[in-house]
Amino acid sequence: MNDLEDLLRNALERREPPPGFAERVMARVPRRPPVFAWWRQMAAIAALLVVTVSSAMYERHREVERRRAVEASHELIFALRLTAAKLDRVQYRVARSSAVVKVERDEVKGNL
Amino acid sequence: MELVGVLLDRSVQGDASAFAGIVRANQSMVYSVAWSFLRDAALADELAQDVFLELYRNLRQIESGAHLVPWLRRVTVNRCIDRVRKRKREALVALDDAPEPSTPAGEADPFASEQLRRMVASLPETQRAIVILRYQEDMDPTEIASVLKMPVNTVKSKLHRALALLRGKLERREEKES
Repeated sequence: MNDLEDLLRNALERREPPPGFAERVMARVPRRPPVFAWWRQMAAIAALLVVTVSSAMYERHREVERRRAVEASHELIFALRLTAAKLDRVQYRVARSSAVVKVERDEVKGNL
Repeated sequence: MELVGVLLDRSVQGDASAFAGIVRANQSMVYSVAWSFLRDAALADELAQDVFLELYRNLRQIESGAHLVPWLRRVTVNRCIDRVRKRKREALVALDDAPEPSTPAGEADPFASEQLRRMVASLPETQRAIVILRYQEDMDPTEIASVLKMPVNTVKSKLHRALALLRGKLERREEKES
């Protein structure tokens, strides 16, 4: 059996194709790039588009948030000022009421 | 193998020179399998070209350089089997019906090798594919089973049967000579 196997190995040696084989194959290969390369490019463009749009939307979202924050801070400052004014008025009235009460108390003491 | 991987990547991207490199690196293997199977230089040339064109159309299927040669072997063998089965007008000569090789006395080894190649070519397609992959491509039964998509034990039994047939044929020839 080994002899037969050796004979087969010798008989079935590789052989080269006729000259110009590769050139004949390449002559039959379509000139345009494979279809999937086109799809790859499309996928890359789509991915780039998604990233760009997402980035723009994120930036817009951040801008809106920033404006809201500025508006909120302005409203807070306004509210604080309003509260301060109210407190000043209350303090003034309290002070004035206290003065009136003191005068009346002094008058009552004087009458006595 | 790394170079093959690079050529493969560049071919996928449409580099024709890289694909030509793949063809040159594998043309001997593909053509030899086809020639041993069909024993017709023109048919083997045409079939080998078709194999490489199919490779070009399916480059993305090849996962890496290591997958390239097994893919080429599988496609070549399958195309050879299809071609033989379609060639109705050139009906295969069954091994038992094949004329006994008549080796003239003192004939050199090349002639004996030619007789043996004819015997291999007269084997049934699957057995022929197994013998060619085993002794031309030096593949073990597991690899052959992977290429032909059949159980390893089937490959082993078909190989055993093919060798027994060839051996019987050779013995008959030797008896005739003596």
